[in-house]
Formats: sequence, structure tokens, C-alpha cells
Amino acid sequence: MAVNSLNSFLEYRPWNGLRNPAWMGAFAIMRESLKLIFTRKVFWVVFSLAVLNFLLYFFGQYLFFWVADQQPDGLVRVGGFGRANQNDMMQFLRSVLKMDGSPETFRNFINLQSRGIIVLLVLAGASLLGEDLNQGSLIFYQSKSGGMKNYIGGKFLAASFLVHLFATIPALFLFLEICFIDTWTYLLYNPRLLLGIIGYGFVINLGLVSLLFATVGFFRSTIGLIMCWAGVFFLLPSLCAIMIDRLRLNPVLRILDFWYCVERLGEKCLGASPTLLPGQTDQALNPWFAVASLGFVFTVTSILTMRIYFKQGIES
Amino acid sequence: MDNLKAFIQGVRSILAVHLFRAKVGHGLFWVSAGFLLLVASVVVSVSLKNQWNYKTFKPRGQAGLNFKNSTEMIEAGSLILGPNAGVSAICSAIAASGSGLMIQSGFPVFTKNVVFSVLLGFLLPLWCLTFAVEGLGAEREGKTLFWLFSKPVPRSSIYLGKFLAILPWVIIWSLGGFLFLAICAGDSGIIAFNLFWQPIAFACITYASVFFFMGACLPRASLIALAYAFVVETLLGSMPGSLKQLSVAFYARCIMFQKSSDLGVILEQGGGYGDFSQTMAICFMLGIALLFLVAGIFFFGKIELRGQR
Amino acid sequence: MGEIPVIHCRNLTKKFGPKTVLNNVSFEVYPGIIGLLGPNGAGKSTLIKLILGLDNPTSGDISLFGKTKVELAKIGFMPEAKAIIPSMKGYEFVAYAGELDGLKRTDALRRSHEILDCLGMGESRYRKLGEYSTGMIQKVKLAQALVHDPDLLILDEPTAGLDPPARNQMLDYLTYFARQQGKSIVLSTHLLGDVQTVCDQVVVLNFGVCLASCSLEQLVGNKSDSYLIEVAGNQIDVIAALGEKCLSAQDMGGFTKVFVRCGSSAEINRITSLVLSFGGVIKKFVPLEGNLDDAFFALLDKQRLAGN
Repeated sequence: MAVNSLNSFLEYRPWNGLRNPAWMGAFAIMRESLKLIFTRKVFWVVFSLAVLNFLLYFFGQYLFFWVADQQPDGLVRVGGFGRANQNDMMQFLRSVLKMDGSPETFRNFINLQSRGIIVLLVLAGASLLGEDLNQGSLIFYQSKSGGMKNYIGGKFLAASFLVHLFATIPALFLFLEICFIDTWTYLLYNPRLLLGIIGYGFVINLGLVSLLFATVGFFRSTIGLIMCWAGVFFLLPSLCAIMIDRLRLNPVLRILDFWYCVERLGEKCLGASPTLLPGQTDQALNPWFAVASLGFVFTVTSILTMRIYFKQGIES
Repeated sequence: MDNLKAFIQGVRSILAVHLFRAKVGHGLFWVSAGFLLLVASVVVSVSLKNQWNYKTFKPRGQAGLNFKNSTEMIEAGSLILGPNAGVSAICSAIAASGSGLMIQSGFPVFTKNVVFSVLLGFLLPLWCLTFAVEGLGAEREGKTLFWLFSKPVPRSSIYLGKFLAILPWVIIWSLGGFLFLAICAGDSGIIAFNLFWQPIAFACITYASVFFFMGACLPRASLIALAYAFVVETLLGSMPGSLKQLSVAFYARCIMFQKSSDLGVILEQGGGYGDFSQTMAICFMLGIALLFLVAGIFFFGKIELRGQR
Repeated sequence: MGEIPVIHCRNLTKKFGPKTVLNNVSFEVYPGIIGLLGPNGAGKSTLIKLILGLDNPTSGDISLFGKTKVELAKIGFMPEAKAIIPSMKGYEFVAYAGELDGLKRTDALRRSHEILDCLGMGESRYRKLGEYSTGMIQKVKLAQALVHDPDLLILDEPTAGLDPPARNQMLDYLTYFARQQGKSIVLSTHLLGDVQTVCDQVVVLNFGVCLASCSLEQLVGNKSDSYLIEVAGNQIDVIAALGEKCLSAQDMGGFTKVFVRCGSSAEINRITSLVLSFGGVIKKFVPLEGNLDDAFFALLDKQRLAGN
């Protein structure tokens, strides 16, 4: 009975070509995940905001060095708006906007950009990872030669790429810009800054992506993700503010505030002077506590991730 | 008349089936419980340090000066005025009574920091959302509404019955959470609970009605409900000016503000919380609840089910 | 047989906590189409998971093609779950699967188109998977299992949810890949009809116990000595004359159905002449086809009785 319909087959060909090593599959997973994110509107909204912020800093830097180049005591023409005192402008750019190429510039910039990453990951993170769990596609990845290692690796690469696209790469661009408009001695005097930018990028990367994996794996939906991240990025800081700033408990309790710890570590990487949060009265947290906090979150989320993704099998 | 009878019968049967089968979204319950435990542990840690008072409390926006400093200043004043025994005695008496008052001041501190802001502005909307959105939302998503609609029960009674089935859970969970936090805070917490359980319960009913409406009638209800909770209740609700009158939490705060004013404690200066009398605020909240209930019954009757994919 | 068994399980046991899902399962199967049969919850999926190496057995071991280490690149797996990425297009998904199994991107794309051609997917391969019908999804899932040219195909319920033409087509594909392309196929299903149509060998599982592992003929062929004779008229005399040889008889009004057992062709001749000697007209004399349903339920019954 079968034979008749088989005549229409184009012939199946066996295949004996070269094969890539299994781990290369991770890059395919990364590519497809990123494609998925790039089709989301929310990505482009957040991305354009991030680009605007980047341009603000880019031209802010430019303005600072341009103003610094003017006659030392003269007035500076500001477009068609009249003239401003050079010292006042320098003062404004340096101490209020902190756009003077100092570590604080990069800290503020990366902090702002990472807000964008958080919003992006919270809204699009579920489609990056959660859909596979919901659709039962995990078994598809499990049955391929790379298995779940490739899957976790590929998704990690994709999420990390997003983090660096928003934070590290634009920050490095800013650094390069200053090298060009100032002199290359800037690089010689600030090698720490260059490493610090990369270091801060990786701290954000590690913190956010590990958190994303565990929370998406556990909740599998955007709703759960938003609620959980609202707890981490909104409830925890306000609780810390109540406990420490208003009721004067031990400032060390700020290690509960995960995101404060990440920013504190970034500050340390860049060598920036510690800033106090609005209303914060205590001294900045010892960076080793921040490391401990981040390490704790990383360990817990990694264990959760392993349990969730490696225990999933064929639902029978 | 027959319609009414069928309606009541329908509500009764739906209630009977679903009261003990209330569904909560996957993992969302654990977030709610996690938030409660987190806040409770913070409250406990403050209670253990005995810090629910104005002794070290620093009001927002005033650097340096706090109540402890000021009593110390009065005491220091009494030392400077040393020779005159009378003045010194008066000063230390003022200082002593002041610090006595401060140690007894747990109620306003707890209310301001936990009940007024964290509980009402953040936890309560989320808790109600967790229970209420899934009420009919889960049936819509899971395509099990077909089954309910195939029963000889009017749609309006399905809506009302399901709402009444989740309402007790919302109230039990929210008031229970509040009570738990209050117990964690000790005596001052108990005072706050006795005084404020009513407005919290009313806010609960209103939230439940609003979120239940969203779950039953709107596409992507959970996202909309979350956006509402964060933008309207949390952000608008804590903004200065009259914009916060849009949020449900505002009316609950009005009642709380006036109840504590009766005790002589002013919770927040110039928040506009005195503008609505307690009765009016209750009427507003219940009115909103009723409005959404009726609107929900109306729109739910018009819903068209999409085919199963 | 001198061949290397495709799958060789030795005393395989898998426990989840106190629950024993597979209990001392041993079997070996050889190239061809292998039906993995069992009611729901028999342990089929767990067995597949173990074959794929996604889980480790509590005790015992499995070897595929004589090797104990599983090479996933040599296996194509078609899961029962939907397991697709709805936002991807059909050909992209198949190419993606190829890449995950080590093909280069360009090779994977070419193979993807070849396989989809072979499975008769036309322009619909450029549509998103989310818009596919069940039949198309099953085809794409088969394609993604084939794209890297595996030696062993493991198919979990490939005909589930398909309408009869699509089901026949799917079974045709399976015979094609097994007979013409020399692939070994493990077909896990609870549809006995599918197994009887295409399979060479059968493994029957129930409650985690392997009830049978043999060729299809061996399982269903127990009744091959039974024959059906249809004789015109009401032939009570014939039945009486046949005596023990007659298993049962039915008067169908106008003709009689007689079920007989005969072991050899000599016996067949003897029965024929006996019937003819009574003046009966033989309308039909056919061997009774072995029936997988009967064999399957007999196995389950046997297990139940043994349990009692």
C-alpha cells in the first residue's frame, strides 16, 4: 500500500560531510535567541533610549573638552543662546553632570544603561528562555549532540551579549572618544579605567544573567519575572532605606540590596569615589560585602538553574 | 423572576464548586509569600533591635538632626545652665519626658514605614493581583471557559460566583499578612492592626474587583494588571499633589490618616488625606468595586471565545 | 544473528524515589523498524530517555550499536511534545536542528531544504511554525530528526493527532527510511495498528516490565495454524465429522463459517476432501491472520494473571 505515494519522493541523500565540534552549537543557539529578541518591539524601544543616553554622554564629553580649550578667562558662545562663563560651564559639567572623563562619568553612564538592561531583560527575558520551558522545546535541545550544556551556554552568551551591547561597548566607545579628543596620554594615565569598564560590564553580566536564568526557569512567565524583579530592584532597596536610613539599623544590612551591591562593586572596579544614595547617611558598603552578596546570589541562582534545566526530561 | 432564580442558583453552584479550588498563577503565590516573609523578617529585625520609635528615627529630607540629637541638645543645655538648679531641673524633665515619649512612639513609625508605604503601596496590590487575576484569567488562558459556558448557568452568575469564590482568599491572605507583620512589630503593630484592618479590608475588596475585572475581560490581563499596580498604585499613589486621588490606596490612606488623627498622631503633613471623610472614602472604594463588578458582568456576557489552537 | 544489535538493554532498572518505572528490562533489537509498545504509563518514555542518555539508569546498562557511550549525533529524536519554536520558519528550524548536531550553517540549510523536499513540504516551509497544522508540525519534527543523517531514529508518537491520510503518509515515510535508506527506527506508540503496519520487531512494556521482545511474526504468528472455511448451506454433518479439528462454527444463514486447526498441508487436504465428501461447496478457505491486538492483550492478561 505504501509504495505508490513513495514515487513522488525526491530522493533522500545520506550525508558524510565534515561536522563542527559539538560546542559550536552554542553559537547557533545564541544567534537564534538574539534574532528572537531583535524581533521584539520592546528591544528597540529600550535600545533607542540607551542610544539617546549614549549620545548625551558622547556630546557632553565633547562639550567639556571643547569648553576647556577656550580662552581661559573668556566667555563661551553657546549656540544661539548667548554666552556663558567658561568656568561656570566647566564647573557645571564637572561636578553636576560629571562629564569630565573621570571614573564617575563612566560609573554614572553604566549605571544608567544597566537600568535599561534590567527593563529589557524583565520584559523580553521570558521570550529568551521561558518559552522553551513552556512549549516543551527543552527536549529538542536535550536530544541534540551538545545537550543542555550548549543550551545554557548559548542562552548565557545571548543574554551577555545584550548586557555588553548596552553597557560595556558604549562605555568603551566613550573611553575611545576621550582618547581621540583629548590625547592618548589619557589612556596612559587611566589604564585602570579601561579595565574597570570591562570589569564592571562583567559584574553586571554575571549578576543579571544568573538572576535571569533562575527566575525565568522558576516562573516561566513574564508576570512572575516582573513581580520577582520588582521585589529585587524595588522592594529590597526601599526596605534597606527604611531600615538603615530612617531606623538606623546596621548599615551592613545593605548587602540585602543586590543591585546596590552590584553598583558598589562597579564603583570599586572603576575606582570611582563612592556615592551616597539619596537619603543615605551611612558610609558606603565595604566592597567585600558586596562581593559576598553577589557571590551568594550567583551561587543560589546557579544551583536553581542547574536543578531546573538539567532535571527537565521528557514528560511522560 | 425565573431569571433571578437561575442567576442565584448559578452563583450558588459556581461558588460551591470553586470556593475551595481557587487557582493561583504558577509561582506567583510563592513571590507573594516571599515578599511577606522578606518584609516580616525586616520588621522582626527592627523589633529585635527595639528601634520602632523616634529615638533614632530620621525624618525624610533633614540631614543630621534627629530626635535623639535634639533631646541630647536639651540635656546639654541643662549642663551649660548648670549653676541654676531650677532651670537645669526643668530642662532635664523636658528631656526625660521627650525621650519617654519617643520610646513609646512605635505606632506612628511602624505605620508610616510599613503600613502606609510598603504594605498599602506595594504588597497589597500585588497580593490581590496574584489571587484575583487568575480567577477567570486562568480559565480564559487554559480554554476551560468552554466547559463552564456549556453548563446551563448564566454568564453573569459565573462571573459573580467566581468573584465571590476568590474574595475570601484575597481578604484572608491580605489581612493575615497584615496581622503577621503587625505581630512581628510587637505592641505598636497590634495597635496599628486594630486601628487599620478595616481600610485594608476595603482596599482589598476594591483591588480584587478591579483585578478580577481585568482577568476576565482584558487580553494579556496579568501584564495590564501589573502595569496598573506599579504605575497607578505604587507610583501615582505616592506622588505629591492631587493626582494620587486616582489610586485606590489613596482612599484607604484617607481613612487611616483620620483614624490615627483621632489618636493625635499626624501620619503625613499636607498629603491631602483630610479632604475625604471616612464615610466618603469607604463609599468611594466600595463604589469603585461595585462599578468594576457591574462592568465585568456586562463585558463578560459579551466575550467571544477564540477557538482552540 | 551475526548482526550487532541496534539497542541492547541489560537488566535495566530505573527508580524515581520509591517508584520503580523500569524493572529489570532486558532486550536486544536489530536493524529495522522496532515498535515500542505499551499502555500509557508503561515506561516507554523513561526507556527512551535512558536510550538517549538524558537520564542514568538506577542499574543495568544500554549499548547502542555495540557501544555503551551514547553518541547523540548518531541519533535523531522526534519528541512527542510540541517542542518547536513558534517564531521560527519551518526551514530555519530544521537547519537550526542540523547546526545543533554539528553541521555547518550552509550545509545545514542545504540539508534542511533537501529533507523538506523529500517529505513533500512545499512553500509552507517559509511560514512560521506557530501557524502550522498538526500534520505539518509532525513532518517538521521528523525532518529535524533526520537532518544530520542519523543511523537511529527514535520517534515518540509520530502519528499522534494525525488524520488517516496523514497517518498513512507518515508510516510510508518510516518504511521508506527504514527499507530504502537503511535507518533503524524505534517507534514508540500505543497505536497497535501503526506497529502492525510497519514494524519488524516489537518490544512490549507494561508497568515497567518487558513482556516481549521479538519479531512481529513471532508475536502475532501463534495463530497461523488456524483457518477459516466458509461452506455453502447449513453443514451440521460436516462439523460433526470434523470433531476435534473444528474450533468453532457459526451458521450465517445460507453459509456456515467453520474455524479449523490444521498443522500441515496433508491435514488441509484431508479436511477439504472431508467437506467435499459431504457435498459441501467450499466458498473460502483462508488462513486466519495473526492479530497484534489479540497478541498484545493476551500478553497483558498473562501478566495480570501472573500478578494475581
